[in-house]
Parts: sequence; C-alpha cells; structure tokens
Amino acid sequence: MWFNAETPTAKNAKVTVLLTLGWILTMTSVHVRAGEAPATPGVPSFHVVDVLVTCQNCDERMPWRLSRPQFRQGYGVVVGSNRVLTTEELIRQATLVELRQPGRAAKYAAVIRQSDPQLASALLEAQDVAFQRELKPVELAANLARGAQTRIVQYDDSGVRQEGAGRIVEIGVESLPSAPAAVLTMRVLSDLRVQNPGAPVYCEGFLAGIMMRYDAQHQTGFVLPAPVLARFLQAAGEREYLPPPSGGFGWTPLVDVAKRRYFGLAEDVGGVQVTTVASNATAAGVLQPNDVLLNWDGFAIDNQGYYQDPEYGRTRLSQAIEGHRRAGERVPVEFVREGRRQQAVLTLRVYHDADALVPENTIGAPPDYLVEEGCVIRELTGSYLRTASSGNLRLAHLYLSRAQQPEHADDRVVILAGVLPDPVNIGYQELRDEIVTDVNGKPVRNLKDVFRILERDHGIQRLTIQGRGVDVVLDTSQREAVNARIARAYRIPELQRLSAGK
Amino acid sequence: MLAFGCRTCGSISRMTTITLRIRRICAAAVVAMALLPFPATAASLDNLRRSVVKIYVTVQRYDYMQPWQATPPGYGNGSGFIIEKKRILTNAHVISDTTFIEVQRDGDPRRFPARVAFVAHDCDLALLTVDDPAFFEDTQPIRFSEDLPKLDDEVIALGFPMGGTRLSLTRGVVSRIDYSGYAHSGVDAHLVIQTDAAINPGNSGGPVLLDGRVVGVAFQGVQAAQNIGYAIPLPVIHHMLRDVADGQYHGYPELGVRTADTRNPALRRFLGLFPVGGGAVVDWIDPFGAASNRLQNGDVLLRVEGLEIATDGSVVLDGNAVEFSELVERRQWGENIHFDVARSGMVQRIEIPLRNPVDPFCYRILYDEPPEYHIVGGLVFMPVTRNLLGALGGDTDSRAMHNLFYLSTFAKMEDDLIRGRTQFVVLANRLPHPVNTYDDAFRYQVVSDVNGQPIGALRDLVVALQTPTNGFQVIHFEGTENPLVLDAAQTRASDAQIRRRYEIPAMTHLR
Repeated sequence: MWFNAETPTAKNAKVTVLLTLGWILTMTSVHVRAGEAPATPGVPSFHVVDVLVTCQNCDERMPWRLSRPQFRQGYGVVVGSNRVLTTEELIRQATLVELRQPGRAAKYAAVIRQSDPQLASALLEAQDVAFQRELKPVELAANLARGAQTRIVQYDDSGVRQEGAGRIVEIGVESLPSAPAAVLTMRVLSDLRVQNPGAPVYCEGFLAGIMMRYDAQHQTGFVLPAPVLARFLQAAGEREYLPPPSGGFGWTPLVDVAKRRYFGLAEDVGGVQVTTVASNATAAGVLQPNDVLLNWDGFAIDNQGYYQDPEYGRTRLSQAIEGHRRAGERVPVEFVREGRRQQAVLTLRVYHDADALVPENTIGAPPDYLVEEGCVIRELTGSYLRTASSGNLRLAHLYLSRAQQPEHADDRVVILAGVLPDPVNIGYQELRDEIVTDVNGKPVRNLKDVFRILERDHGIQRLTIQGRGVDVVLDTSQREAVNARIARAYRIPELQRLSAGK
Repeated sequence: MLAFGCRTCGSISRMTTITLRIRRICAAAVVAMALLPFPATAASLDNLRRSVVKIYVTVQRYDYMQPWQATPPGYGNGSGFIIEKKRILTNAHVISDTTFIEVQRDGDPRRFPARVAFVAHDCDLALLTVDDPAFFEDTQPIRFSEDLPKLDDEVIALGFPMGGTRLSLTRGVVSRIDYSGYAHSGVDAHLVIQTDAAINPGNSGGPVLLDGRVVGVAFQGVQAAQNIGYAIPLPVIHHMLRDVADGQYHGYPELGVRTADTRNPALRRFLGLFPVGGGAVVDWIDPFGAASNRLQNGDVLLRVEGLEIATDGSVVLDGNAVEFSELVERRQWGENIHFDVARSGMVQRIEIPLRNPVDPFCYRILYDEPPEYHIVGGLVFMPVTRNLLGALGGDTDSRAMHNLFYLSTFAKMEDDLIRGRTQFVVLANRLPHPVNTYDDAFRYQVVSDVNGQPIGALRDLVVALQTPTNGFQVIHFEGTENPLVLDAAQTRASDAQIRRRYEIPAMTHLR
C-alpha cells in the first residue's frame, strides 16, 4: 500500500503540527530545518542528540534477578523544551538515560516522560535546563509520498556529522515485533550505513521520521514516519496518555469466490472476513467471527482489506481503525452476517496488553512472583516463553491459541516456573513450567489469588498441577525458617513481588 | 544425555530428538572395510561365522507428502543370525518397508531369498525364514546365554558393517545396562545393553556374544558420542520369541501408568505413608493402558509381584535396580500382574490383566502400511501419524504445525482433546488447482467437522463430504471458526482433472 504519489513541497509542512504538540513546543518558536543546518564536523546539530541508555533485563525464570547492565546508544530529536523524541525500543528497560550533544562530552540525565510500544516512540525529558541551550526543536513533515527524496543524518564517534541521501520506497502498515497491532511505517532506500536507532530522516528540511533499524544488506531503513510521531506527541501532551485504539478483532481477506457466495455476498461488494473477536475489546459484543466487514467509519473496505484513505490513498484497514480516531470515539460499521447486511456503532477502546490471558509484556516490566518453600510461582507471559527457553508445548499452545481470550477478565495462567532445590521440596525439584490450577485446594485464576490464599492460610500446603494426578505437598511447619534459608542460599532479596493495583 | 519419548504416552514432541541423536545401524553401506583379525578363539568362531548372515534388502517406503505413491527403491544391508527352528533373528528396522530380501552366509557366494515370518516393531526384532533348505546346510543355531551379562564383561559383535562382504568382529565390554528408547518405533523404551564394542551401520541384527553365546542383538548407536553402541538384551529377545510361539505377535503389554517420587516427607504424610519406606504414587493413567479402571491417581504402588517398589519406582531384580515396569515387560500379552497398592489408608492387592485395547494415539512409526488419505478438490486429508509429522517436519515453525505436535502429544493427557476421536484428521497438502487457490492457509490444520458432522476419523470425513451444505463443502478446523469452503459442483468436476494432472491412481485409501 502506498501514499499518494504527490510531490511534497515545503508548504505541505503544516504549522498546525505545532498546535497539536500543545505545551511541549510552547517554549520555542524557532524551527531549524535540517537542510539548513551546517554539515561541518564538530559543529553541533541544532536538534539531534545522542541518547545513551544503560539497561538491565529481568531474568524471567528467576524474576528477582537482573542481568548485567548493558549499554545502548541511539539518537533523539529535540521536540520541545528539554524534550527529546526517540524510539521506544532504545529506552526499554532503562535504568539510566543520558543525553549528549554529538561531539560534546557533557551528558545530561533524562527521565522517560512517556513511551508507547504500539507507536514505537518515547519522549524523554532532560533534568538539567542547561541541556536545552543551543538546541532547537525540529518541525515534523506533514505530508509524505512514495518516491520522495530524503536525507538521513548520523554522527560518528568523534561527533562528525554524516549525511546520506535516501528515497522513500514504501509507506505502509506493518506489525512491529513489539507492537500489539500494525502501525504506519516507511521504508527508505539509502546507502548511508546507519549504525544506531533513532537517526532522523528529513524530507525537504522537515523531520519525515526516525529510523528504527537499518538493513545494511538491502540498504533499507525502517522508519517511524512523522504522522505516527505527531500522533504520539499529541497524546503525550495530554493530561492522561491514551494509546491508539484497537479494533479488537482479527480479519482475513475474502477473495475466494466460493466462500463469498457461501457468505451470501453480492459480486460487486468488497469486505473482509472477521476471524476472531477479542473479549473486552472494541468489537466485543458487536462483531462475530465470520461476519463480513464491509465498511468501517465510512470507509468502504475491499476484499483484500484496503480502503481509500483521503490522505494516503489505498491503505490497509488497520490504519482506518487505529490511525484516524482516538479511544472513546464512536465509529459506524457495516457488515454482513448470515447473508444479511447490518449496521452498528462501535466505541473505540484501547487494547491493554495486561488484560490478556497471556500478556506479551514486550516492554519487559519486572514480573510479579512468589517464592514459597523454593517453588517459584508467577504468571505466564509472552516474554517468559520467548526468553525462558521453555519448550513446553502446553504453555506454548495456550499462548498460541488463547492468549487474548480470557474466559473471565481476571484470568491469567499461573505457573510453577521452577523449584529451587532445598530439603523441603525434595521430589519436586524437576518440576518446571507447570500450570498451577489450585492452591491449598482452592482454584486460582491469577497470582493475586495465590497471594490471597497464602495470606489466609499462612503458607502453601498443596499445589495442584494441570495434568498431574498428585498434588505437590509442602510442609509449612517451618515455613518462615525454610523461606529465610532459601532466600539466603539463592541470594533472593525479596521472596515476593506484587505490583500495586493488582 | 539422551531424551527419549515416554513409552506410555508416546510423546511425539521428542521424536526429533530421538531420530537426530540415534542412528540405526543398518545402512546402505558401500565402503568395504577390512575384516578385523580373528583372535585366538578362531576355532569357536568358525562355528559362529557359518550362522551369522548378511541380509540384503530392497527398501521402498511410502511418501507421506504424496501418499498415493512410494519413494524410489533403495538398497541396504544388515546382519542376522540363525537360531533354532531354522529362523534368522534380526532387527525389525533391517527388514521394514522392504520389497525384496536376500540372505547370504559368510564365505558362501550364494544369496537366498528370505521372507519375514514375524516382525516386532515395538522392540525392533524380526524373524526371517528361508524356504530353500540348502541355506541351512552345515549351520548350527547360535545359542543364547542363560543370563544378562555383567558390567565389564567382554563381548564381541559379529556382523557386516559398512557394506563389507566378509564377517566383521569387534570387541568391547558391557558399559551399562539400562532402559533406553528404541528409535525404530519412536516411542518404545526397553532394557538395552550399552557396549563400547564398535557397532556401525550394517551391524544391525548381528549377535553380541559373551563366551560364544548370544547376550544381545546389535541395533543402534549414538552419533554424537564415541564408542556407544546398543544391543537388545536377552529379556527382550526372549519376550519376542515367547510371544510368537502361538503363531502371532501381540506385542508388549502397556500398563499405562506414570508414577511420581514419594521421597518428600510432607507428601508421604499426605498419602498416609510411613516416614521411611518405599512406594511410588500414581499420577497419570493412560486411558488406553491396561491399568485404566484398575488403578487410580493417588494410588501408592508398594509391591509388584511381591517385590518392594522404591520411592522412585525402582525394584531390585537380579541384583540390579530397574524400573518396576520391567516386571510388566517380562509378562506376555494376556497374562496378569499383581500390585500391592495403598489406597485410602488400606493396602489392597490389585490384579491387572495385561490386555490392551488398540491405542490410536500411541503414535508409533508405521511400517509396511500404505498411508491413509482422501483427496477432495485437490486437498489431501490424512490422519496424523508420526510418519506424517516427520514428513512435514521442515515446517515446524508454523502455528498449525505446533498445534499438531501439541494435539498428538497431549491427546490422552488433556481433557476433551480426543472427544470420541480415533484419529486427528489433518489437511496435509494442497495440490494446486483453481478450485482451491485460496485454501493454502488451512494447511496442517486439524479438521473438526465437515458439513456439520464431527470428524473422528478419516472415514468420517469421506462420508460427510457426501452431503454438501447448500451446494458447498464446508470444512471447519480446530481452534478457529474460519471455515474452508468449496463449491461442491466445481469440486466434483475438478477431481477428475486433478486425478489426471497429478497422476493419482486412487483418490482415497482407507484402512
């Protein structure tokens, strides 16, 4: 899918972007175009900064442990008073974020004001006002077009500016590895070998996007385009950050003529087939699997899932759902169910990853856990499955088939991740990645239930494991001493973590 | 360390591990190897060598990606040896899926056609016969030892490794006697003898001897390890020979019980056991096993046939600690076995007849059986088998393939997975034709119903396709409400074209 092949001009850069940025940009009124910035070595850029990140990942199997600190480096662009925009992935699981002007020694500590894995963006704020000196906010490009020429900027280790020409070869909607839904992205062909994420891409002097990654083999940069950045900044400027809404349903193109006739569709109508509907999401209670969605928010959908976007031309349905409106707004839909056309109005909702039966937790937030008499109990997440090398078919099946389909809103998958060997738990020490269904004979839906039972019964006497006909039975008579012994032996600072609000 | 499939549950997920790590030692050996010099016991070997035979086979397997045809013929060889009643004992994997078998004695240029009398895929043994009495002239059956060998006993392996035409002898010691997986079936585990005597491709089926008597049949090795070869020991050989005495091979009975360790003091108290003692607690019953409806979860198995069962499920037998299931192993199909069981605070004596119903979810590798399939509209439907999963193995990253492995692994262990099925029917392949252009996304998915009729086996699918829904064939799959829809009239018309285009002799094969 492509944007209109309209040649961009400087007048397309809308000043209204400033308005949408709200208070973020009120500190400045001067905007420097990259094209006008001197490309002289050692001369600081006016709005590009190095983002230096120290990060630590959580050990999914032993969630009280953090990995050794790692270091990442990328770029950010100044978008307002002490505010810097960069990619979310760069600052994920950061323990320290620092900003630095290329070629300068001074580093300024920054805090993460907002980050959104769905829009792959993060907004940082420098803690020292001195940071802003000599820096000016960038202006975002408003219109982008396939074929447009771009310039990409990065800096070498000594702060020397490198520039390369590029060309927008694709603007489309695609799923990012860490985003729950597809998002507008742009591909730029360039021979500038971009080393770090966050490098700015300019189009006629305006910021056309920031690069998420660069594929050296194909000389292609994957860029988060200006409309997505503008949207993120707008939401970040509001009192409460609202991520983009989600349709809450899965769909597939409906091209097969036999299948279209089976669904009772006339030959001259488009429409895509709804395949899944997530509970507690926008489409829940209205759309059903095997509905044929003909129209979304006034946009007619063709049988391959495209609509005619007034701004971008033929565009994937995902952009109509997530790119035009905000959560809480209502959108009309038209669909065919069992041969009959129907209309309805949906209220757009945000899909919260944490509401899933198996949340992804792509941002790597430290998981809640409980270590009781050596049994490590936690909830299953996508990040656990990805990093724990589990290989457990049963857990993977749950994740693949029902991750977004909790039967009850608070259903999660409680697992016995492993057992820390101690005399109290001999005989159970080979158990790992097992699903816990009951604790002390009471069914548990989530880790909070486990904590509740633990507090009430002053210990875990029995764990019931799915597929195992005999409970794990523990002696709780010396519970406190055993837990203290295990905490000492395995150097566990806290034997439990339950986040506030759970 | 080797990981093997669970004998009782037939864990298909581990199949890859088994097939990767264990190589069977029958091969199309083409490298001529010099015979090792015979040791000082050459006189006794003269008798033995006349009774060790080289087996030449022509192999033609079924192509599970195009199940109406076979793979091109291949050629290989293995070993065997003459036992009493003019029979040749060898491995099942040497003679499986063969179209032609010949045997040849060492030093005799003549080859004699042979045929399979009995094959025991679950323990990788087979008996051959040769109709021409000339083959057995001047031969003597090789005798079996009375006992299992002991650790460090020196053994020799005789056979025809690496395609040699003259007998090979290798020497080593017994390194271990243990339970291990039998790669041939993919799911079975029995006692094995591990030896460091060189056992190579072509040795399969040859005797492993101690003091001139057979203590095992060479059958598999470990590629990643050095000097580890395996032989099938006497208890397994005798079990097979006794089984076929009535003219039919029934196979090993399956008790179908998984037990857990009772070492934990809190668990012992919970189960009402003395703090010190033995007993293994039942934590899973195979619905197709002999113990189904006899034992139950939470039963503590205290004794089997009077032998004390330790907390880890082992018993002391002939001075060795072995799994209690070894006692079951030594029983024949149709015999009984007795357990002393602690249940609800009482000790009961429970007798279990070892008669198993047919277990469709065991997932042994199939041999000598053409695969079942049904083709409609160019869509090839097949029951899930280990053979099919092996053939599809290159695409294991797909969600549908993952689901297949999950279903086949947990069929008997999760509630509602079987639901009256005897087979999981899967869309295994698509033969491209305009009638099925958009149906590739359904590949590898398990059929749940066709035209509203539940599909418990391939036969059900064939029947259900006879009654289209309002002119459409509507096929639903597990885990999705997205149906595959074919125009019934166009599908009928397409079948003849597809049959011609892809040269398919029959659109259906059912067992």
